[in-house]
Amino acid sequence: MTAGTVRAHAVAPPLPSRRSLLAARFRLAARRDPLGFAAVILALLLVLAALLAPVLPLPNPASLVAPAQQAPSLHHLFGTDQLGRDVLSRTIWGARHTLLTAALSTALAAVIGTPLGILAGYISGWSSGIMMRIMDVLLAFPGLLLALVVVTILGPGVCTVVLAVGISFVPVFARVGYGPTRSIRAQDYIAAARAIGCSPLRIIRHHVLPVLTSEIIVVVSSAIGWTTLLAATLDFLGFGIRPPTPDWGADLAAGVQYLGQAWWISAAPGIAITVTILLANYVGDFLAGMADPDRLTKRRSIVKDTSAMMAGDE
Amino acid sequence: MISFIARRLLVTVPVLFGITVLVFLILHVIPGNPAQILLFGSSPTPGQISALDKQLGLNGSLLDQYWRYLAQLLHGNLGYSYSSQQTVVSEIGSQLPYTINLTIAALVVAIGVGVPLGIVAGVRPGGIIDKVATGVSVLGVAIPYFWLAILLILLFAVKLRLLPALGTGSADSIILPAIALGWGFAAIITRLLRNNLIEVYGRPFMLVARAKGCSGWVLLWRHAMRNAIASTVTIVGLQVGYLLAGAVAIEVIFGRPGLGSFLVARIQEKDVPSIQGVVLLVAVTYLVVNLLVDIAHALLDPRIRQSWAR
Repeated sequence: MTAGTVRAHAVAPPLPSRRSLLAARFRLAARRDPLGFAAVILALLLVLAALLAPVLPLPNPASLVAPAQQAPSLHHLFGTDQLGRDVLSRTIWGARHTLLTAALSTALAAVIGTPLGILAGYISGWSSGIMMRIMDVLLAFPGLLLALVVVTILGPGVCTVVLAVGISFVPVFARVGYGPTRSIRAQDYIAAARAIGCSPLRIIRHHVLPVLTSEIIVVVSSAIGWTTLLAATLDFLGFGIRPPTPDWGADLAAGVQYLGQAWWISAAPGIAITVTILLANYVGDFLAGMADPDRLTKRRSIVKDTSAMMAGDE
Repeated sequence: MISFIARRLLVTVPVLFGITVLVFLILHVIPGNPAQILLFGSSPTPGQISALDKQLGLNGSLLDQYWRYLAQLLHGNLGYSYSSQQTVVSEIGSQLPYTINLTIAALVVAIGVGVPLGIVAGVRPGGIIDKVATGVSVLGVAIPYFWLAILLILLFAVKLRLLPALGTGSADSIILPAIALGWGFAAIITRLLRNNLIEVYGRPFMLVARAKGCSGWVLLWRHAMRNAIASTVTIVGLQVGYLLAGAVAIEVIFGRPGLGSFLVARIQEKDVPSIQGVVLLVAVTYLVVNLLVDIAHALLDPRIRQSWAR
């Protein structure tokens, strides 16, 4: 017992509420990581634009509003496409479809992968080993290949893309759940909780999940960037949505043959995908900084984090 | 070292086994009977269907079928393509060289750009080159490779007319696809090598080396790089699988033959044996590359060998 801990006991202030703690951390992170804060604002704006597309003053994304292949002008900020549809309107409407696909598949991967990882980390012995070997098998297929296998089985379509992208990211979330659970499992307080008769479910809920929550939120937000990329790739290859529904990947593919005359048709969705991936990464970094303020001083690199995540490597 | 390789192999075998199970199952979870797909349009009799089932090895229990599939696999037989009636092995064999060329060219771009940039940025962090390299690498990771491919076609083929955009007609037609595929990878290598170098330069032994009078070059090559390169090699290996998969979109955009455009075409035709063949080949290649990389990593870094010996 040192003098420091005695003094801490003597003047211990009342514990701040969870909400005010989060707000304080948010302010701290915003001050130390202004770029991340800007990314959070921009990402919110992007989501807002996608949600509000029906009420925004935009021409119908599917109707022919002007002559085809008009260059960007005041009238049509992003120009018009090969059929004469407004490219800005298609890009914003496309965000609805692309981002929804990305969000749903990320949620699917998190909801399936994390419990599997926690379970494999919590139980020990051969069944845990088998579960992680199965994840190793899934990880032996690069994401796009696994997604293409799902497309082969289910046939092209919108739901297929969600499932395909979701399944290819299951191992990533399984890894997120597995590692920390393994190390928490070995702690003395878990042995104590078991000794007083806590059920495994209760231990997972009260001792494991709170530790994992911040990690999962961080991984989800960067994963949205990579699921956007994978979903856009599948749509680009023609395995997802059918025209004329606006979608970034599909519109990008449609514009490719007009590159020589009208570059803006594929430029708009291409930039949208790039910006989404960048924003998702910066927001992920920002949230990581909020979860663990020490990190902000070290400034972890996006690339190292995400490449390790994509490779499923801890 | 031998025992490390043996242990590492032991872990690989069950994964290899799992891959064959998964690939085998593709055929069985697809809705529709393969014989009916093959005889589509000719209103076959049940007798014809069962005869074809037998010919395709689809009779008997699932376990029987799997053992037969495995036995055929070990004999180097991947079955016959539904759409061309040729063996899958010969079909893949004719596509493989294109994809290998593209992957190697992309690796050359990735290492040729990533390693020098990473070294320069890591030796002088905060310098102008470091700032440029960081910007390039952040963009390189975020830009979808198929979008980069389109930008390259637009700039170098359509506007400047320097390089061919499509096909495999001339030797320089591989330049744009290789850059498009390798760029994101170059960005990852740059970033990783830079961070590793910065970390190594901060360690006490580097101070000792400097104090005893090592020149900058000796410091870099003898002390810093040997430490920094090991984990970079690991990531290079992990990413090779992603290069193979990324080749799918790149081949389609540039109209190049190869495993990727072959796979996309065969998915559209529901030609299951061909799909199985490509998927198996890519997954096994990925596994083998990872195995080799782990062994290389252990050769470079004795600590890895010890952590496996426990």
